[in-house]
Amino acid sequence: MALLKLEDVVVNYGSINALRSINLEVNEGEIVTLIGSNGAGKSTTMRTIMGLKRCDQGRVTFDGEDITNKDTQVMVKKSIILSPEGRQVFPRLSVLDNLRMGAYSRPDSEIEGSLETVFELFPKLLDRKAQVAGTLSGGEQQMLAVGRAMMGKPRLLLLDEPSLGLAPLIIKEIFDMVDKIRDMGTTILLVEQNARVALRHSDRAYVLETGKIVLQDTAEALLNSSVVREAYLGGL
Amino acid sequence: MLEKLAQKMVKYRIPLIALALACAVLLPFLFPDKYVIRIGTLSLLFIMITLSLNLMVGFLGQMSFGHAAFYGIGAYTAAILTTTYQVPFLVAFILSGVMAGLFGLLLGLPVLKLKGYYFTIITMVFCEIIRVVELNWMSLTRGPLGIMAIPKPEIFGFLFDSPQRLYFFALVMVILSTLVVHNLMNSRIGYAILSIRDDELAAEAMGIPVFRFKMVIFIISSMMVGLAGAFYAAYTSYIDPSSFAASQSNNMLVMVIFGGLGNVVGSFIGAIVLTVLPELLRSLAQYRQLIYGVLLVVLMMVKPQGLLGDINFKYIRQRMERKDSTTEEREK
Repeated sequence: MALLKLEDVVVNYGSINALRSINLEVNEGEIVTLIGSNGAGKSTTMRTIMGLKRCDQGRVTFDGEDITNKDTQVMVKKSIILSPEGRQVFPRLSVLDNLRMGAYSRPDSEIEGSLETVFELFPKLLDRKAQVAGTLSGGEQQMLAVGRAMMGKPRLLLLDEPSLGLAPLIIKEIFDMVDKIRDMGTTILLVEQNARVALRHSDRAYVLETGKIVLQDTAEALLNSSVVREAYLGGL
Repeated sequence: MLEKLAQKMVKYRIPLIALALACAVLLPFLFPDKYVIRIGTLSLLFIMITLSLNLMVGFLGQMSFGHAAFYGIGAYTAAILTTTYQVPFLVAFILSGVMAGLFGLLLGLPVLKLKGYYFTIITMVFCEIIRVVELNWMSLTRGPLGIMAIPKPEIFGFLFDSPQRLYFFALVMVILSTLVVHNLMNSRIGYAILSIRDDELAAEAMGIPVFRFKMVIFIISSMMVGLAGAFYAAYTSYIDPSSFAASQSNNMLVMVIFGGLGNVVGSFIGAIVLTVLPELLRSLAQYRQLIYGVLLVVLMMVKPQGLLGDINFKYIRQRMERKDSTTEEREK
């Protein structure tokens, strides 16, 4: 059974249809990617799952339970955690406090253990522990954003554009982390514009165009599909 | 340079706090002059106001131009209750805080969902509405005539009738509000509030109840300034709507920004400097406002976040402790 399931989800921003009947499934232990151009509805999908945006029609289920339009706090309690687009760390809080905020919904007694796990994943963050997050480099901020999401102990991690504005070497580092996080038993739904890297690291993918899913397949098949190649991989 | 100074402040924080407290306690005895005590009392009153506004603007990051409205609501509640209804001061004092908090709740419910400029504009308008009500509701507030002969504070038969006693009343209020703000900002809610200030969406994604915490801070901030207003009414024994106009809101905001957004010590400095400075410049007569203005402009150009705006004493302390522990290890 699918861990996360979206059935005929429709989301409107005023009179604009952002999502027109989306059907999507993520199975336990998978990395699933949503690719698509700007404005295709990728981030809206993430926000809807997270309860940050209300969906107007359709159903979202997590682990068999209906979670449509529940509060974000409920999602977090159910261990659905979002790492938002654009490295949204808390710039004036220290690295350590940023991480602590990631565990806001969990009892204090569990925080220390999770901190250790995150520092193992991102040793750089340990060196920068007392530093204010706004003074970190772009790559480090992205690591912090992912690390902060990990502090919520996600069963399902929603990663919104983790490669945005980063150098290729750093992107590679981040995606190696994504693999590691999956190996730790976390299911991942990924949104990416950098389709090539994302597809290489995922099991399955959906292609989103103006609010509709136009293609879905295994990542490997999509990497080789001529349509995807032309539209999203620069025709190489 | 400021960082070094801040490190010194952190290092000697306990003697510094003790010294400040000793100065505050001794001031009315060393300078028994009525004028000096009055400036001292007003400084204390403005510290409390600045602390409460700093909660809203500095810690929560919601720019409010309407703080004088809650100040006025507190002052009028206390004045009306103690004069027209002969309510004992302590009861009126507490009810002033409750009333200001209640208005905070009523304004906050629709308004705190708005972001940025919209929120700021509504607080400005709210301040004006409250002033107009105070001005025109003759039967309740006596309008422009103001309320006169407001009795001095009296708690369990102890009358705060001398300048010294009123000064100490204000000092206790300041100590209590400092403890409230300090403890609040070092609690779980405090961290959540700083996250909301830094990034509302990310805070929400962490499962922080953003709207509820904004309400909590808005209400606490309104209550604190409402209590300050109640004290002001009893202290001056006369209030009229002109004390609670938009210019007063601006004045409060200038103190917060001057001292530093989101810094408790900054609120003290902002309130004291900007209360005492105009008095020191009094001898310069017509140049007074000019010098005051120039000083503010220069500060905003050199340090737009205010004197202590980008200084986080807690992080400086953590960094110093870390440095200490690493040098100790090296010595071993």
